Amino acid sequence: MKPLTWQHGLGILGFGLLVTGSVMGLTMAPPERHMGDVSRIAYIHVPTAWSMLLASTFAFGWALTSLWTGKERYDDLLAGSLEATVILSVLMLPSGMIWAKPTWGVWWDWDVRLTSSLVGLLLFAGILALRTFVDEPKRRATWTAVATIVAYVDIPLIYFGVRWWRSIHQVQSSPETVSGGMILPWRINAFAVLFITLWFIAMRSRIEAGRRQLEQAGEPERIAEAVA
Amino acid sequence: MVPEGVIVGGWSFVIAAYAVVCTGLVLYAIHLITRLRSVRRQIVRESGDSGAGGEGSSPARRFEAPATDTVGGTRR
Repeated sequence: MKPLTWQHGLGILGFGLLVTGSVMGLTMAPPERHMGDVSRIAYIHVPTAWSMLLASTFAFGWALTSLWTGKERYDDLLAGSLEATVILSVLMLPSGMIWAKPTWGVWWDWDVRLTSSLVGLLLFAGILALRTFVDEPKRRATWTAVATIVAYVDIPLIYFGVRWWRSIHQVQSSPETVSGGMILPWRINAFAVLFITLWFIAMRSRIEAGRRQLEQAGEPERIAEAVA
Repeated sequence: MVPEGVIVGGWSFVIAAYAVVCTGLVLYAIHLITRLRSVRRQIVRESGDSGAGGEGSSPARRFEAPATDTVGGTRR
C-alpha cells in the first residue's frame, strides 16, 4: 500500500499547530473584558465549530458530485466528511456547554443555535447509521448523498440563526470586534482543526475505499454460497 | 444594555473544555489509524487467499492504486 505521507503530514501539522495555538490562547492571549479567563474556551470551541461547518459543507459538495458522476470515490469522501462532521459536533457541543455554564448560568438552552446544532448532529449521525443498513454500494451512495443534501438545510440555520432570531448565543466575532492579542491564537487553532479535519476525511475515505473493495472482492464468493 | 462586571476564575471550565476537545481529537485519530490498519491487513489476507485469481484484480492491488487514477475515472 502507498504510504499516506501528505495526509499524515497534515495530521502532524494540525496537532502541532493545535498545541501551539492552545498554549498561546491559554497563556498569552488577554482575558476578555466581561468573561475573564473563561473566554479562553473560545480558542478551542470556535475552531471546532468552524471546522464542523466546513466538514458538513464538504459533505454537501461530495454528495452533489457523487450523485452527478456516480463515482465511488466521491461516496468515500462523502462518508469521510460525514463522520468528521459528527465527530466535530460531538466535541463542539460539550465544549460549548462547558462555556455556557459560567457565562450563561446554565449548561443548555433550547436556543436556535444550540438546538439546530443538536439537530445537525442527530441528522448526520442518522445518515451514517443509514449507510450501515444498505448493502448494495450504488444504492448506499445514492441514499447517503440525497440524505446529506436534505440534512444540509440545517447548516445555514446553525450559522445565520443567531442573526435571524433573538438568541442567547453571541453573534459571530471578527478581527474587528476582538482584541489584537486574541486573533493569532484563534487563527492558529482554526488552521489546526482544519488540517486535522482534512486528515480525518482523507483517512476515513481511504478506509471506506478499502471496505468497498473488500465487499466487491467477497461478492462472487457470496453469490456462489447463495447458489449452493 | 451593556453588561457589567467580570467573571472571576473559571479555570476548571477552561481545562475541561480543552480536555474534552483534545482528547476527542486524539482518540478519534488513533481509532482511524487502527481501522485503516485493520482494513489493510484484511485486504492483504484476502488477496493472499485469492492469489490464483491474478494480481491485477486482487483487492490489495486495487487499494494500492494511486488516488489520481480513481479520481480521474480512468480505471472505471
